[in-house]
Amino acid sequence: MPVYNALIAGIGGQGVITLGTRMKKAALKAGIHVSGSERRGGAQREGHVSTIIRYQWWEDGQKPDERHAVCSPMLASGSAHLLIGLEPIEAVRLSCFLNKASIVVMNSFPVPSIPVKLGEASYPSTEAMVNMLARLTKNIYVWDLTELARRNFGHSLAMNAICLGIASTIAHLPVSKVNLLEVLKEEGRPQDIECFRFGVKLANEQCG
Amino acid sequence: MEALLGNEGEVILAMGNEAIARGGIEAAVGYFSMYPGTPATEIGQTFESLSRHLPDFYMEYSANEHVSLNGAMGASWAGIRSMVAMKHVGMNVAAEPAHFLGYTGVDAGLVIVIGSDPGATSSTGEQDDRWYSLHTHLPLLEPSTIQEAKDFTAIAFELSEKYSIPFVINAPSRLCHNIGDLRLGRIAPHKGRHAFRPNYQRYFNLFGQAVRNHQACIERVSALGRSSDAGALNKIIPGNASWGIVTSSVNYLYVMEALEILELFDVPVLKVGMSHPFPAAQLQEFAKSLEKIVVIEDLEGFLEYQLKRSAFELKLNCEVVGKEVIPPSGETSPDMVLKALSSVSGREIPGHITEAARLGEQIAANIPQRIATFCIGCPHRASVYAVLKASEGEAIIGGDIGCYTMASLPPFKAAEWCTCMNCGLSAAQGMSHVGDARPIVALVGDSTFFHSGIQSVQNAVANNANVLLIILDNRWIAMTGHQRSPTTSVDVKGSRLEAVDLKALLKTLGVARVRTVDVFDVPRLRSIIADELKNSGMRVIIAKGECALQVHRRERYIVPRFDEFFSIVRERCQRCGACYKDFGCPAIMEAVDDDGEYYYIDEELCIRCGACRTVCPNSAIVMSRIRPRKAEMQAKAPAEDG
Repeated sequence: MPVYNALIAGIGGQGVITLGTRMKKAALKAGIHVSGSERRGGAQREGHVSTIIRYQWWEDGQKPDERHAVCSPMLASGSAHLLIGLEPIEAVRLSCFLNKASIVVMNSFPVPSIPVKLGEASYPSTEAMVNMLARLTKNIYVWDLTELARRNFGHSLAMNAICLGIASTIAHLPVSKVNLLEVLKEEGRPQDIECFRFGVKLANEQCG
Repeated sequence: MEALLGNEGEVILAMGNEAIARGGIEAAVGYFSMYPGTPATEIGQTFESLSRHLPDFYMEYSANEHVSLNGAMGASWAGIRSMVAMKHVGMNVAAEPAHFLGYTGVDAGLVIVIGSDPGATSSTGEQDDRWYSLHTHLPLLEPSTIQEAKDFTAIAFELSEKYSIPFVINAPSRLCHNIGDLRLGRIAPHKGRHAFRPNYQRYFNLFGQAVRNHQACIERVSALGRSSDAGALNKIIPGNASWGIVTSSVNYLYVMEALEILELFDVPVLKVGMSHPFPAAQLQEFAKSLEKIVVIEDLEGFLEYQLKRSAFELKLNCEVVGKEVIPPSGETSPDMVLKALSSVSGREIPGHITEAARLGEQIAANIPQRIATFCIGCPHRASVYAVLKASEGEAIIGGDIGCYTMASLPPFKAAEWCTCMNCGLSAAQGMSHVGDARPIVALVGDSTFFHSGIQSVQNAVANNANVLLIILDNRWIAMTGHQRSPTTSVDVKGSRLEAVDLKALLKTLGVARVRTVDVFDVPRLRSIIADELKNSGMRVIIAKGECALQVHRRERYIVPRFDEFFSIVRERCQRCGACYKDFGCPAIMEAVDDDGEYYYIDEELCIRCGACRTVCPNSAIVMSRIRPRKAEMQAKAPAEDG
């Protein structure tokens, strides 16, 4: 039975959980199963936050059976199709879930953690982080999404819907753009739809 | 969240915790109580937001778990289906009523939901509450999926009434916080209010009657164990291999995926849905042609223990492997289960998985850690900073449970211990009677204080303990998502609420010295703490500052203040690090340009608490009515024109 695994990483307050919930709601629109656990311990407290989105569906003619109709809330190493990093070092932290076909969408804007502020650790350059990820996959797409969001939409949180647009264009999601837009429309904040379209455009420029 | 009230057959997106609440609603629950605790909190939040739509429904956030479970017991005896939720360590506080409820039994169904935390990601321990069932006798269900979380909850109410005993549902954080599709069932009609139906023989649980109740409880639970009700909650997935797996909870899902990855399609699996009383009959059927059984579960081996006992009684002749392949501490993961089943079967884990795990571990070891810290504008940052500066490393500081637990993390490293609720003052007062001459400070939040701290204060006063207690009064049960605390005086919409007068309460308890301070004036707080450190006896400082997140949320509902912006004047800043490193507010950032490195306040992140301004020794942080970025642009504008 086909499964598609997406992961989102970032820090508390960036909207990791919101983005994950939107991707999951789209599964209901597409009529497929979805599950996935959240790590919410650090929510609002600048700690690591991540969420797992596991889409699961049956191909025509397949019949659900007890042995295969199972999707756990967690992922085995090397099994993510997509990793979205709203904060770069938090994306790198989850590199164990990547394989050579994985797609990484990463915001390059760094948020220094306490050990970095105290001078006990140094924050790697964007290039160094991309090189780390490149040990696992070559499909890495990097933008300064914080800056793009602030410049075009007045607030960094706009990157959330921008990421959704990017993912819908390059990540071969089993949910369609229409499904995702439907979710955004229901939430009723028109700017999100603009952000989504902006994300689609960014992705097309880079990959087209 | 109102999707949770949908009709039978609808498919909605729900969190495990929400599914549990829906299970209660389908069973026409009429009473819910909890003391908030991760990972179970969202069960309460769900009921809270749905309560106005539910007929004849009462809910409360109780003072603590002991009160909460006793309350639910009373409601059950009044003929109303009741549910109580708590985190795993909450069961220690609720253990007393939990131990009597088997004896007394229930009238209407009573379900206890425990959110467990293997891996202790949000707790001071990872105790496995399933063991409680061996001495409370309470039947125990372990759902695996979001769907089962709902279905088992609804079934638990039926069975609780049928066998007159509370049912426990154990949900690990990975189930509580699993979000996915859920198919709704039928909502049973509500029976309306009932009256207390006296049952003196049962409820007056004393002397010889307690012994008879004990015996009756053992008989009821054993009848349940032999019944088809128990069997219906367990499941055998057949296979022809000579070895099989016994598992429960989310581990069942890890097992099934691991078997698929390892292409072991002939291994039979016994999925235990009710792990107490243990399904001996199913084990007998499952094990009859097996040479070996592998038990896959979190923590210390509750299933394995019972399975081995049953195997002995059933005279089964097969090897049992459990904690040899899955460690007894920490959270299990799909990788861990893969490794365990690979070692048992000799089947290799696919290369891309082992390679990713190896590289990922290497990479993660070489990047900076991300340590949780106080939110931007958090009153605790100001309090903890002031305590550290005032005590100059000379005081012993006891921590406690709440957001301020993070006082023990860098950059503060302020608290010396943190174990259970109200461990701060309780341990500090003991230490003060026998310890060295150093002053002792205990930190406690307002909601933790009301959970179980009142007795500690009274005890400290009665025995003349020598402790400075600092109550970090942020007016909310903040860490679990802002439930109302007894000190909450204004809700997020700006409506005034009845709140307890903390100072008057402390005076009544006999504390002679009580001082109240605004935390955001850090120098003043610091000097008051320094003063009180020189005093002796039991004294209390109430460090008042509302949780910044709630203040921020309220801004949507009330008339805005004049805009205030804080910024760092570069010419005055000596880069001493007081704000950036020692105070450590995440809104203060570092950047570099042609003139070198400099600190600045991120305008978007700053919530304008103003504490950093009082911390700066060089008066370099200033408040203005003009947006700093705009001011900067205005200043630059003429030069650009020229």
